[in-house]
Amino acid sequence: MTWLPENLDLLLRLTGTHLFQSVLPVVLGLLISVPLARMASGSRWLRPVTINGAALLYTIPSLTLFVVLPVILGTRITSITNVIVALTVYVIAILVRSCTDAFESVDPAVLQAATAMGYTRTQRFWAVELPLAVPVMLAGVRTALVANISMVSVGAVIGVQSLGTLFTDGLRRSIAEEILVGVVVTVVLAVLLDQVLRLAGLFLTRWQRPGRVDTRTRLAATGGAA
Amino acid sequence: MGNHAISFREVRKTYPDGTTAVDDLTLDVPEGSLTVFVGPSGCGKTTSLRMINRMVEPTAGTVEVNGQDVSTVPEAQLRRSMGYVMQASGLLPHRTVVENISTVPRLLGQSKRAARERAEELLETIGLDRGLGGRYPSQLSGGQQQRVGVARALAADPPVLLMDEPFSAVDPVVRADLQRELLDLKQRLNKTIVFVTHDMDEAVLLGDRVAVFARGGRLAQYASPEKILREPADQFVSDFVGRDRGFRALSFDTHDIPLSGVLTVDGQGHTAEVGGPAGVTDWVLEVNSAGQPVGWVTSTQSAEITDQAHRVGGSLHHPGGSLRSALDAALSSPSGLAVAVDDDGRLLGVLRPQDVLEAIDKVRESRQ
Amino acid sequence: MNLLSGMWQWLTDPTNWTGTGAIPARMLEHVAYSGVVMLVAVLVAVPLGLLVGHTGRGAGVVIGVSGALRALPTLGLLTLFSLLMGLGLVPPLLALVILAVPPILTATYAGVAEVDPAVKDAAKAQGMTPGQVLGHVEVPLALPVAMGGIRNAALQVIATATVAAYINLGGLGRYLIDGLAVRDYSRMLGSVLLVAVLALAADAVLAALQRAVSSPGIRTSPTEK
Repeated sequence: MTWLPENLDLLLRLTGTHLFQSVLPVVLGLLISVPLARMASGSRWLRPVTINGAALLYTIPSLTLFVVLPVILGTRITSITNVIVALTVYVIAILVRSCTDAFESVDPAVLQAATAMGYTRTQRFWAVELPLAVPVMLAGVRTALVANISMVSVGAVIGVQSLGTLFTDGLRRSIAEEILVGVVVTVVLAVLLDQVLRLAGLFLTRWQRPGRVDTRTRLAATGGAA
Repeated sequence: MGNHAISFREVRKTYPDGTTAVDDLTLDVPEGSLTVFVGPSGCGKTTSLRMINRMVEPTAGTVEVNGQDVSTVPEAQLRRSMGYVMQASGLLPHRTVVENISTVPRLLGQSKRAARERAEELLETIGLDRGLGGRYPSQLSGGQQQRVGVARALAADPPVLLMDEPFSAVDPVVRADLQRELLDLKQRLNKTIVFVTHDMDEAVLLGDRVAVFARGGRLAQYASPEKILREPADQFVSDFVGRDRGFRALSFDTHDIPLSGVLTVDGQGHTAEVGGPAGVTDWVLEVNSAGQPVGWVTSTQSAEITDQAHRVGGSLHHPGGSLRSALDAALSSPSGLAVAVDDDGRLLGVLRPQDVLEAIDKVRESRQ
Repeated sequence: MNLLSGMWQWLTDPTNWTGTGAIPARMLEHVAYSGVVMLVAVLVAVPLGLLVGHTGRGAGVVIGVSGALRALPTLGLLTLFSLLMGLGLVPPLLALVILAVPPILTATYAGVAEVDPAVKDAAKAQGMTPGQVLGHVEVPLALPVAMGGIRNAALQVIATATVAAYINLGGLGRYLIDGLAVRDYSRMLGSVLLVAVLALAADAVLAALQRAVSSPGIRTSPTEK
């Protein structure tokens, strides 16, 4: 254990940029996928187009995208933008599918009831469809985030800094410890962020768990003496 | 009554593939009535219902509510002005019971507090404990969910209530409760209710007026339930109403039937005659200390009554009730004698089957 | 346009199609790596998924471990293994197997676990032994879902196998890494196209296989829902 104590600053800096490169694409991808998936769900022609298109995007190797994007975007090859855009593409590839499934998982009877009660289309989307799509959607977001955290490292091959830099650098200098630290921190990062998302999901889907009663209203119902 | 709350004028609904869901429907639903649309699946009854709140748009013709063509009212506004109850309760699974009931008042711009108070009040109206208000729909039984669905439809106090097979997914016992409560609600709230079902018994039980739809969206008959049972307009209605329609039509007949006496025995072995001198029969009716019937025993067993000995009786008849209930009470009784009780369930006497049949005969003669 | 014509030139240059290190050879290497990896991954993940799904025991562990495996950065494993085990085929293939196992394992498990309990109950009621329930009911019903996982894994493996070139292995990634070193975009783009073609071809084959193993009774397209 000699590498780690001497390189804590580097590790912290790389972790920070790694986090940024993995989280921002998820946010961007979500903002693009949700409206796209809502339009695609139940659509006869748009649905196959987006689903198959997304599957196709997924076949492109990440390394390829990192390499090709600078040519298309006109960015420097070591620019962080390439990684952000490339990973956003992957997030969309994953999320368009799961968001479409999410919107289609909402019970049509509930949607009909909402319409029958006089929700406008916009009101219905925000108040009913989106909250009910969260559980399935969240599963996709979690998959995408974990995949991203693992994939960001590949950027190191073309010289974009991230925890992956520890892998390329460790291999070149034959420091197994450096690579191991990189692997462990990457996994810890993935597990931590995944748990954050899981907890957020539990909060957003309280209604799914039977047997628990909203304490606030229960107290109100019994007079709130406690 | 008198005014027509809802009117269909030559309404037709055809789909692009050529199928006709509703064929030239003209029908008036009187204000304050409970009108039932009944028919086999695919007969257009639900489609017709959904044209009232523009969930379905007619291909031709107009639907009017209180004299106003619904196609001139913005969809969302129209729907907020009517209650809607559906088969699967359609409750929003991510909202609590109280939040679900508050939906329409909130859409109409009521304050959260006022909507909430109204919702809690409604919980009691529909026979649910206020404590259930904080639950999510998945934590309720099917019957409770359906009650909440009714409460939600009533929340904005709409003059019109649309109910699409609301009780078909709950078990028969709960369904009977819900049906009774609906009739009770109707008495108290004075709403115009349109109720869709495929169950003729439910239609007869609930409806002031019944519209029987045939396949292809044709209105086969629109009349009172009694008239439909007694004088089906055509072969289709007659078939749909079913074999028992003669028996079911007795629900609408009443006639005085003379009471006969019966020998009773109580828990202490004391015997008595109730309702007059008892006829010659082996059967003795066991009563409790309040004079309410408990079950039948044969006279050979009456000396020492055991729980095993007595046979529970059939349905009970209340004097003034329908001939159907009298006949059923007789048919379902082990002794063949219909047990008549007063409103407190105390034994008044028995009806002999021949007297019931005679009453049925007299009613028939009087109609001719 | 310049890039595309460059790519086209590279792809159609006859000298790139013959000899060692030519396109056919690299493609074959790529297919061989991916094939071996998928074979090993399927042999590990499918039986394990069936077992866990059938018994219901250890489901939490399997899901947790798969989740953790998914989080492992393939590049990290690749470099670590080759540093510890030296050169050769084993380190990169092992890293790719670890990449391929989680999607297959979770899909197989989910396929079995999602079989309608009423159907399993009915099978038992007709006198099937647990082994027969697995063989006649659970496996046929779970296969389409498991195949979905295998397709997913194959796509990932074919795409990620390009990274193997980073530790001096063959495959189509060679063109990418070598092209990168000399900024030869024609070569890089050409190899990208080849990888995509390979991935699509593999997916088409597996999709046909998935269709073949799905009983027509459970074959429903999403639009029929």
